[in-house]
Amino acid sequence: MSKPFFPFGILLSMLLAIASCASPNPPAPPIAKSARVFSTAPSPGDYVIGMSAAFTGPSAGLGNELYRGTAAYLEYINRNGGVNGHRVVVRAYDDGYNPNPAIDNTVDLIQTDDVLVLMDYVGTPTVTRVLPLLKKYSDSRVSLLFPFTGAQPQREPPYDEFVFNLRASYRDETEGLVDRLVSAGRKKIAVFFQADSYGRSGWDGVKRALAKRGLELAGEATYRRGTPYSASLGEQVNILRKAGPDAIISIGAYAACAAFVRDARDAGWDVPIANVSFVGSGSLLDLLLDSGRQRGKDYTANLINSEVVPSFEDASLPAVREYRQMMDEYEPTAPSELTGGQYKPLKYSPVSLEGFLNAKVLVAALGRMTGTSGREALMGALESLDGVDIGIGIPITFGPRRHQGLNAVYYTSVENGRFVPIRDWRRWAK
Amino acid sequence: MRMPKLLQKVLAGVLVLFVAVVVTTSVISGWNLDRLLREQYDSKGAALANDIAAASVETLLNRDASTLQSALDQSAEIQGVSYVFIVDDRGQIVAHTFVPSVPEAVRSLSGNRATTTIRDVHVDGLGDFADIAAPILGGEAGYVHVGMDRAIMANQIKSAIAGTSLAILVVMIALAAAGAMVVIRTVTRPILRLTDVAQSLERGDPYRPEALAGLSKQKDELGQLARVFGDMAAQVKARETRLKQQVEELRIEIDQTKKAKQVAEITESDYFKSLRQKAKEMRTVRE
Repeated sequence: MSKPFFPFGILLSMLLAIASCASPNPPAPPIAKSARVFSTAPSPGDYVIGMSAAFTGPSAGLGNELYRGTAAYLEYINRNGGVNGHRVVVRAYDDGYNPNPAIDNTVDLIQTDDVLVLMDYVGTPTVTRVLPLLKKYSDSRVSLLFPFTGAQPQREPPYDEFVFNLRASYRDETEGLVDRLVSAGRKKIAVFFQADSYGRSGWDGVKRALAKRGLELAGEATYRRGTPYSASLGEQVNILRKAGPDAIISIGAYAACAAFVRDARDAGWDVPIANVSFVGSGSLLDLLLDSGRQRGKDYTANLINSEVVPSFEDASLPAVREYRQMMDEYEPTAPSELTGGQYKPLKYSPVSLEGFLNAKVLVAALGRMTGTSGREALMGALESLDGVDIGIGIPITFGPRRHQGLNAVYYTSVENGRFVPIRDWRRWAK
Repeated sequence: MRMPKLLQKVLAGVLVLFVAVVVTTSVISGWNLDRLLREQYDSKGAALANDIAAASVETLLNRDASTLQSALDQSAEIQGVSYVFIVDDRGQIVAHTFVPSVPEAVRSLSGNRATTTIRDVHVDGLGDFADIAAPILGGEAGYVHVGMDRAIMANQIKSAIAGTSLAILVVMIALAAAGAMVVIRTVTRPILRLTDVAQSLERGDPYRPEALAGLSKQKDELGQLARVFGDMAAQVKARETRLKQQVEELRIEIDQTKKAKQVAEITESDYFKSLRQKAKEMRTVRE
């Protein structure tokens, strides 16, 4: 048709109008199945340890540091003949701190990789979803060692029989924090927490600890898991500030918790903010020091941290001396295929120290395996550990009815840009 | 190819009609979809709330809140579910999926001990929800609230209707365009040809029957029209020829009469008469 005629023009615009309201919200992108990378190629006869953790994303610091600590000690063991002649290697997968990849990784580790044991998992939302898998695979006797979470589900029936915990629980940490804050006269305690099972676990711990003292939560605010440091948490700051608390306990990951501290301080609010071990105090401090340098401001005042391992500054402990020496000597890093080559390691951190201690207990148990070296034998060996000294001044004991190794909580605050043990809580007296 | 004005009008009318039909269908199906989706979402939410309520009893009474939270988080991943929260027997919210905090509008929602209740809630800044409350242990242990997002529903309806309307319109436009092509081929083009021939006749060009030869063979009304037109043209031609002839004859007649009149005028004149008298006298004198 040489001459366009009018209805087509009108129709075209109508079609466009309809098409524009026809396009629904784009579907949320599916969580990408994590990269499947072997950290170390195992050879026959190796003890293969399976790990799924966050090596990428806003919590990458946790998976990476935990891995580095474990790798440092295993490197030392392997260089010195292994355990009874067997090398100990870690097969690690990235789950980005998301439950679904963690489940997929676990299935692969158990079924395909046929690992001896699972170890160094990171996070409550991930581990709580993996627990039913362990129960499902209970015939294959695979157990999970020393997950980097203090939540209750893996410390209680029906899952406690499949899990060995080394670190103290969030209940221990929150109980300790509440006890010390209340003793210092700070009775109005509010919680800033991650909107998932991890945050809820800490919220529950704080609430229980307060209830024991006849107190209630002064306020609460949540944030979404995966919130980056660049996000504003001003809304949460405002909600909590309105509640007028004497102190805040944060149950979160380092990126969001650091952002919360930054936004609170930027709003001129200097309330003491306490974080628990999972935050990864090294990564938290790194972010805050960085922002502080950029803006000429101190974001590290009135920060309190509860830790489940001793301070890496405490060179009086043999394990800390070993840790520092081996970290310096081996400079372990997670494979770049796993991290995307993006991660900048911390020299020392409580997280890598925890990974290091985890490996020490593992090696102690591997050395005790008698007869067959299968999963059940390892479980038996772990349960036979009785008063083992790993160099932190507290003996480790496990048993058939005792799968919790430590209950010790350590408290630190920042002085001169580093976390140091708190010796006197009276500085926060109110 | 030219698009005749009449056809434009007809097609425009047809399209307006199509659009009216589509709009009407959209409104009706939108209303129906809304009702159906509401029912579906509400029953989905109710099933979920009851499931959580049944599963929470033991957890709520015996475990820490993180186990409960884990269950809620999984439920909140279900499409259409905006929030889930659990209120315990003391009216305290022991687990929820809100960020950054539980909105006042839902905090005050209560449940019914005997049955699962559904009500519409508006939360400033978050939107509209169907809040479905299921009692746990007959309300003794608390309530589960599941919030189904009305906006997702509205979007689904919108996209479904827009999709259907779009499909219908596309099909109709395709049909209309095809129809136009057919009409142009079978109806308009012969009419245009006839018009052309008539115009050439109007200009006085000679009528050439071969211009309508093909068309005249058609057995439909257009063929008939062409044949009638051809006959008419032929008759007009014949009549014209006849008229021309008659005019010619008349002209000859007129010429003869004129001549006679002129002769008469000459012969009737006094001069001619006197001349004739003189001639007569001359002939008489000679005798």
